[in-house]
Amino acid sequence: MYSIEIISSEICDFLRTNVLAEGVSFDENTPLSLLGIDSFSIIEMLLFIERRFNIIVPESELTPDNLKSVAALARCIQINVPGG
Amino acid sequence: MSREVDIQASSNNIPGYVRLTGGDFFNLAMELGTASPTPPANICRLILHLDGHLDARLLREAVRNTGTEDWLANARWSRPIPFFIPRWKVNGSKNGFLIHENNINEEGPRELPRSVLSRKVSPFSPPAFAFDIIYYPSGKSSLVFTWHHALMDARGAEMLLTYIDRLGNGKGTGQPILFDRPPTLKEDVSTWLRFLVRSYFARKAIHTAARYCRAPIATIETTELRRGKDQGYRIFSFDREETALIDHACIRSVANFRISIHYLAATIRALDKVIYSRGCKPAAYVVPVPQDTRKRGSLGPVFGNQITFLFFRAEQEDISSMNRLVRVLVKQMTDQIRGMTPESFTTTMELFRNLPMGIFSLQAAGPTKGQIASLFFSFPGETCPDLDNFLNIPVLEALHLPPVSVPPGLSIIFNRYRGGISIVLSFVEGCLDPEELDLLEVSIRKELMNEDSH
Repeated sequence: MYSIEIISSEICDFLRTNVLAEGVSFDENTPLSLLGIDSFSIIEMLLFIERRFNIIVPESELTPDNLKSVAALARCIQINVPGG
Repeated sequence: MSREVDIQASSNNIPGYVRLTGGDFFNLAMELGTASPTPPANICRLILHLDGHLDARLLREAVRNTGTEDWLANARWSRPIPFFIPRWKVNGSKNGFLIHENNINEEGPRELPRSVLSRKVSPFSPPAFAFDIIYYPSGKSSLVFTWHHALMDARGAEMLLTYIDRLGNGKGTGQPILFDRPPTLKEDVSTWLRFLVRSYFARKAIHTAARYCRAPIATIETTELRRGKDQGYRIFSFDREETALIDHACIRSVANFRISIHYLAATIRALDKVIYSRGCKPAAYVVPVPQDTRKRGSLGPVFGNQITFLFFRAEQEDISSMNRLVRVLVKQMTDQIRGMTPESFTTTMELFRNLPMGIFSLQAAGPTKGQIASLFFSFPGETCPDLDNFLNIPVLEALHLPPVSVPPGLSIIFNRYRGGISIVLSFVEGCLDPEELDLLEVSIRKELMNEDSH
């Protein structure tokens, strides 16, 4: 079981390293839409979560609310996903 | 009516040459290897409809401020030594690039004059870029930026116009990265080891492409089209409310947050209706979809194609319902991202730069005799997201007019600007008759709303 903070922090690190340009400032509460995160990047992020935490986020949990920000996604994983 | 305004070239700390990116080389090779000479394949246009008069002198000054006018006027292809990576270079001439001014008598911001539509740009005999300003009786105007796809992709063009606007306004948003990182010439053991690893990924990518592109492929093209016709296009739009409904339809469907898959599935099903109406033999739909490889929020590179591809293939039985088609496409997308296929394509395109273009064309298009797609489809995301005004004139609409080549004779792009969608169907004239165009438009509208599916 991972804490929301750990999940958030690791997803943010992943985005910072692999998806977002150097110098883009954001935190776990920044709306993903403002960062230009498209469906391609969301899938990359979900595959990272699958690899890193061994968690598959069910399709039913991938709602606009849960994909609003890293914090929202981490919260959803921690509460709803077995192993999260 | 057309008037030309000359701009003298100069250089401001811009390199004299840069190496082609893998995407540049891909675009050139595919054009030389598979497309007919006319209509001009691979010519892109970005159109800004402006709520006021754009002064050509103001635009000239703004472009000068960017320091890119020598590249815009004189950039051309060159391969200094056989089997070395080809370059884009400026030829050192003092040719200025041209801004064409066009006055038209009728209001109709979506009707481009034939002179604009047939503007010639080429990577082999400069210029490869052109600006047109169209003036309307109402006092509004349009800026049409035309460029050859081998030198720049859609996002690069948006960045360039944004950069021109910022410098024209003296806003100074920081220096963008105009070109990709300069190459390192170091050749050692690690270089060759990397080469071997990259070769492995390249083989994997070629294998994937061959699997997705196997014949027979559904197409609207007929043999006579290869002789070349003019480019035609149709634009239709959805206002904010309609676009919100489409977004909602997407979210409550199997596509969920994958809006590009929703658009693609709707397009494939609509095209299938057209091909079915012709009584053609059923075949699979193959669609390569370009993907921007820049990191999100980056300032560049502006020049050079920074694209890779995802390949999609839909068999006839997959098209029977929107939900089934979306499921198939979602799986293909996820599998390719998981398998790092886009990265493998980038590697492949980069490796092939050393070879004569004919070899690349043969590899890419040989198995299907040049037929590598049912259509070209693109959704580059929000169009010009940072451009509410251009040189202090409000922007009413920003849209891309995609290039079209034969095969496949049809390109479709989804533009989103300020919460509304504009779809551009770009086709080789004669390959779709007016009734088929109507059917395509009506079907795309219905499918996007999920009105006629499942």
